[in-house]
Amino acid sequence: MGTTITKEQNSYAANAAAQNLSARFSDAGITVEIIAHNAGKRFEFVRIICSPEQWRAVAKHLKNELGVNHCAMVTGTHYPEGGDRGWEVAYHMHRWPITDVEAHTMIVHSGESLEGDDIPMEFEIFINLPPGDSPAVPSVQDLWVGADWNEKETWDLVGIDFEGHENMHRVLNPHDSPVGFHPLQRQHKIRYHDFNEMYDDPQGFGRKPVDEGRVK
Amino acid sequence: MAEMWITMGPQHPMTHGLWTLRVKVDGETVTDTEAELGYIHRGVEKICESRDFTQITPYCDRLCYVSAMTWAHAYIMAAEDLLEAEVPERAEYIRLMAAEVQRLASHLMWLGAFGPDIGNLTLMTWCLRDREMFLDLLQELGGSRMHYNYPRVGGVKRDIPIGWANRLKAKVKLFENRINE
Repeated sequence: MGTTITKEQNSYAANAAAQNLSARFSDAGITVEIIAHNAGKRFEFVRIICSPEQWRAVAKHLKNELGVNHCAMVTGTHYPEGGDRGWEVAYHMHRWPITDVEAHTMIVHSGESLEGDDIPMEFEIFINLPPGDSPAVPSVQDLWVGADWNEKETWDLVGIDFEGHENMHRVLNPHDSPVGFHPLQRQHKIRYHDFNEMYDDPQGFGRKPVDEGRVK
Repeated sequence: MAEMWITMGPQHPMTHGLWTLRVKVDGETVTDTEAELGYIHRGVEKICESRDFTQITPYCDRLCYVSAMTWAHAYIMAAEDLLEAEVPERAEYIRLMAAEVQRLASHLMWLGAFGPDIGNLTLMTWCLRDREMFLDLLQELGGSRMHYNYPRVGGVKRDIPIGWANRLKAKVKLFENRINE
């Protein structure tokens, strides 16, 4: 008895989930791929690429039909270089077989004996957004508790607007940061940009703070 | 009785990392909480935008100073995913061992810090004693006691030193015996 699943189980679960998603959403133009990690046991996971309009439908399907019960991470990326894609939001989801365990009960899950939708699976959802100043994605705060904090953080740092997210506020930046300031957007530069101590100033003689001479 | 919000923190006598917990209390019952972090948010992602990919590993070491090896690995594996770089099998095994030794050291740290919290100072001394054992092993790999800068994109900085595997085995065995005690 082991605590991990086998490659066959993983492959079966990935294929089943991908087929399920393709059957439901292929008409809508959503891309579903099976990707393998390139380290460790090379487990496979499902990658979904959809548009913000489709995201709520995909999310509900993942939660209700495929048993996805853990929103692990939400990140956003800013692509200011031009092209169709100005922003990208990535959701990382997991399906764990252990749900709502009663207190004082000891259930031992044997990895090899898990079947069907009980097999743990990883989902990665990419939502591509057009270029512009106001990237917006529907929130899934009400579906997964884990999305609550992660969406706050993504809005705080990257500036993705999560429509329908309740109680949105700054979590990592100071609470009195200027409205519209989201530091991971590429137009914001810090003093390290275009300057590399190791190459440009190896001895450190020229190193001065950018606010030198300013009265504080 | 009316409910009210009370701010707990950010200072606390046993502070390990500063944060605020806003708690909503009804009499003496806590009915809701809201965490406020960000006091030690250093913007590493933003710094990394202007750095070479090899220069980012030391930054990742410093994300968590009790498990530097693990965080550097997390970054390195993400970079390898993007580059689709293949890692030699030997390097994967070395990485696995390094990360696991780091895990032992890291867990001993939280257990050791937890000891005084519950009023058991002996636990801390034992944990820190055993942690030194594993830090010595990691020091042999990375050259320093805390921040190793050991993994590289596509492998590791250098091969394990001669006799390292035997020393690892002996120390793990000693550690097992001490746990059984």
